[in-house]
Amino acid sequence: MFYGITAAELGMGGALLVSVCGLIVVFMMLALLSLIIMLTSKLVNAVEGKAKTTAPVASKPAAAPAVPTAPVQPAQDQDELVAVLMAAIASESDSSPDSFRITNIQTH
Amino acid sequence: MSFLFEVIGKIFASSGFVGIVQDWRYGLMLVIACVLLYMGIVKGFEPLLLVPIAFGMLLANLPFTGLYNSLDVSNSTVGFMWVLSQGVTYAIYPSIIFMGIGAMTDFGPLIANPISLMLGAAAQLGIFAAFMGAVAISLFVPGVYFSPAEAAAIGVIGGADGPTAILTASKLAPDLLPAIAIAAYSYMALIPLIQPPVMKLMTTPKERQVKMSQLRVVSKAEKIIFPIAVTIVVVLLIPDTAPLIGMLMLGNLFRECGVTERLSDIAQNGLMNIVTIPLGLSVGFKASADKFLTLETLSIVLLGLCAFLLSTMGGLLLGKILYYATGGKINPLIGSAGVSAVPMAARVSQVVGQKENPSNFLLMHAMGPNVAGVIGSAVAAGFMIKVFGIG
Repeated sequence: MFYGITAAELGMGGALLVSVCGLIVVFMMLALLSLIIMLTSKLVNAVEGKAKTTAPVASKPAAAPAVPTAPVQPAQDQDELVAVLMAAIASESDSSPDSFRITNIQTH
Repeated sequence: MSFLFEVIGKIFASSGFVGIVQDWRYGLMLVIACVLLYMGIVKGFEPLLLVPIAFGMLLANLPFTGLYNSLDVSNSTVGFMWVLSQGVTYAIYPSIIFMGIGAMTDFGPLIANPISLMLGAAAQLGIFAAFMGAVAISLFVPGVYFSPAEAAAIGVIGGADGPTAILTASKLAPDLLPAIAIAAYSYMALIPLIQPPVMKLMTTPKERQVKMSQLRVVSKAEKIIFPIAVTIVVVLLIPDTAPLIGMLMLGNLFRECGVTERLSDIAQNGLMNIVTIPLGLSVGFKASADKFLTLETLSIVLLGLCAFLLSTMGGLLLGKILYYATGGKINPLIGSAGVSAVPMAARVSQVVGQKENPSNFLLMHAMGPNVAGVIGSAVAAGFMIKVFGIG
């Protein structure tokens, strides 16, 4: 742009102009980055938030078989417990009770 | 017997001692090199850089070594230092150093508090003020002349970022490179002495006592997207920043992506240390007596100090504005960390803040403007190279 220009040719006015332009460019660039960071954060949080809400429904049937079964309640109580848990999961994840299956319940 | 004296006489005549006797400036430069070595080794001023720089300066001022002889294809000879210095001439070393800095830097505080970027921008004020100062000296002080390109390279000292200052000087003012590099690194080492008086002068005790709320946790995905997004946006807008921003963000991606631990480790440790040696030596080697002992060097030292002070003031000024704009939620002391000397400037904010209020922990809040300053000074340098560079 000003390659090879001398100080006399540029003058104090030119130097001031370059400085003001430079500061504006730096501020604009970093303001733009600031905006991008905020947008990215919102996007990532939205995606991760969505993933968290769907995770229990998807992972419950898959994770459960890996754990050894240890029934500690009588069969009649077990059925009642399964029904309560299914209703709670369906209500919490806003999905149908047919869309998931409880394969194992453990007590600690 | 006379043959013996003749041989000894000839050996002495071709020795470096004659060179020093012929030109006293070489002797003075050796003294300066030894003082810098003392400052690096005994006083601990940026020793990793100052020791190789000072030793390069020492070598450069030992006459008749031929270390800087350029490539002579017909005789198959070349000076060792000439070969090493190509990494500075073509801006290879500063870019690799930036990769290491990227691998060492956690941009989390910046992502958690994006307003930090504005503080990083404000702290570049010194760059442009020193540029104007250098132009003014050229116009009004007889016997000292800087071209606008050289003035721009001097101004970048105010970014408080050694690799950026070296890269800009190598492109815009190769002859002033050693003075600029030495001024930049010396002032970076002196930040704990330079900044606190300005910080106290520009802020009230009440402002310095402000406790900032804890930063939010930044997710892994945000940290991975950040270097990629910054590279695309900044390099597309100012292509001249590509070597610095590109390498800085590559190093940071190594750190954050979670699958390149070995590359991150080598970038921030082994590679950075390896490159520091030829970089320091090459910079120091350019400080030969005829180029260094000039009025220009003295002017650069003074302008560099002004640039540092004004950059600190710029950051503090915006810090104060944000303090009032947010109803006292932002401690203006974090503004001074906008000069990019990482993490020293952030530590200074922490120390000054804690002196006023021992239960105050500003370090993580100051790291945001601090790393923003690295990006800001790279953008400012890219702008200067665009305006005054070739093409």
